[in-house]
Amino acid sequence: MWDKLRRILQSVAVAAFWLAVWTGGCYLANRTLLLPLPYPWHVVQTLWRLMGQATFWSVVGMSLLRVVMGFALALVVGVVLAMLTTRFAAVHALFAPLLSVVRAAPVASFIFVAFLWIRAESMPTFIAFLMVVPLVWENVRQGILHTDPKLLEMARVFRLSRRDRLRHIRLPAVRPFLQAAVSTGFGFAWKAGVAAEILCWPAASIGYHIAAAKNLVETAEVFAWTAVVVALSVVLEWLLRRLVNQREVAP
Amino acid sequence: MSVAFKNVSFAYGATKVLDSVTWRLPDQGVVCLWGASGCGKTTVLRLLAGLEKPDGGEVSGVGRVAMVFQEDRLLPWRTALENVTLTGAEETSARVLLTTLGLTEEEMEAYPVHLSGGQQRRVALARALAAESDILLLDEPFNGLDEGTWQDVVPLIMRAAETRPVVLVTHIREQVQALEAAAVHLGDAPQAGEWRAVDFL
Repeated sequence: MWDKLRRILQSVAVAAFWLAVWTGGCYLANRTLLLPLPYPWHVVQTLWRLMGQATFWSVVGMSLLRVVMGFALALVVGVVLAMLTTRFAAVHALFAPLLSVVRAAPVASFIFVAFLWIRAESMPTFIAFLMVVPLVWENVRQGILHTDPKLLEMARVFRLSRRDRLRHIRLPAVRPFLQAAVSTGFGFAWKAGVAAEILCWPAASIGYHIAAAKNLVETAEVFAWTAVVVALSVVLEWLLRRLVNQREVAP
Repeated sequence: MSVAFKNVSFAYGATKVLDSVTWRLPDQGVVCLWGASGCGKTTVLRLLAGLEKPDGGEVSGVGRVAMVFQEDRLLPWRTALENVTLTGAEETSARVLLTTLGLTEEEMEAYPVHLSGGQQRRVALARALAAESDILLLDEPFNGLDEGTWQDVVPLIMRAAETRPVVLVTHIREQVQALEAAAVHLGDAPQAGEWRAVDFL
């Protein structure tokens, strides 16, 4: 009880501290540098106004939909790739360098290169997909490789069917690795997807509105939209973690 | 058809373990492989289980295998009971077996990590005993069991041995005697020639 109260008070104090820093920063910036930095209450006001607009939710929905599609596709492709590359050394030799390059290259480079061939509307999906595939692939691959060979031997001796092996050994062994990929991957996909929107301006997208507001030097609106991105990221990651972490086992 | 080794040779890399061994197993009863560590006892079990292929010769007539490995090899994400029914055993018979082996209802529903070492061993034993099999392979099956407990398991193994051969690896004299096992005495590796099980004493 007291512990909980203390934690709440602590969170409030931390929030108050950073709001004060923000406000102080705005005051200084606006006085001395002529930089249009919005005060916290301006951002809240702007956000409230935006949320009242008819298009707000459809913009948010479309942005989400594009990223979720890329993310879902990446899950499927990542898992299939992991299965193929652990099963066939040749497939691994072929794909491993490609996936390393994809992982190491900056998102923006991909966006600029892909911009030549891919429509702005598809770009966030494509970029989210590209960010998540290597992550899922590598994690699931590790999961498959770390499946206890002694358990697989046991299954062989007792002649467990292919289906039972999958259900009782393969899937439970890969599960925590996939969970990790899903909960970190979505954050990646979301941020990269919005970055793609900011650079490519697909219609009805959060990124389009951030870019437009930036060009009009509407900093309060940039902040407000960014707050939406952050809030969605937190909520969705929390949801996703709850969804995938419904473990069947204690250990 | 009886289980038999015919001129079986096997090596791990350059280390020869079996060099043309011929051995015809009895159709029932317990046979103990007796010998120092590293003489190839576990290898013989692995050949019987089909986990290793002989380099030369033939292992024949094995059929369905049930095995207790040196380690328990339980699925950590399945309960004790599910670990036993995994091999297709009926739930009721699995429960009866686990009860006979001294597990409570609550312990049957627990995950292996929440059981003691001895309890986990008994689950591994139950899994092998509950599975339908034509041969039962036991690699140091009583490891980690207390004095009192391993003796409780003896009648269960004896009963299984009435209808199929049971091959036992152990270092403990009393266990061989309690199971009334015939023994194949093995010298240092590589093993060669024709094996014959003799009375242990």
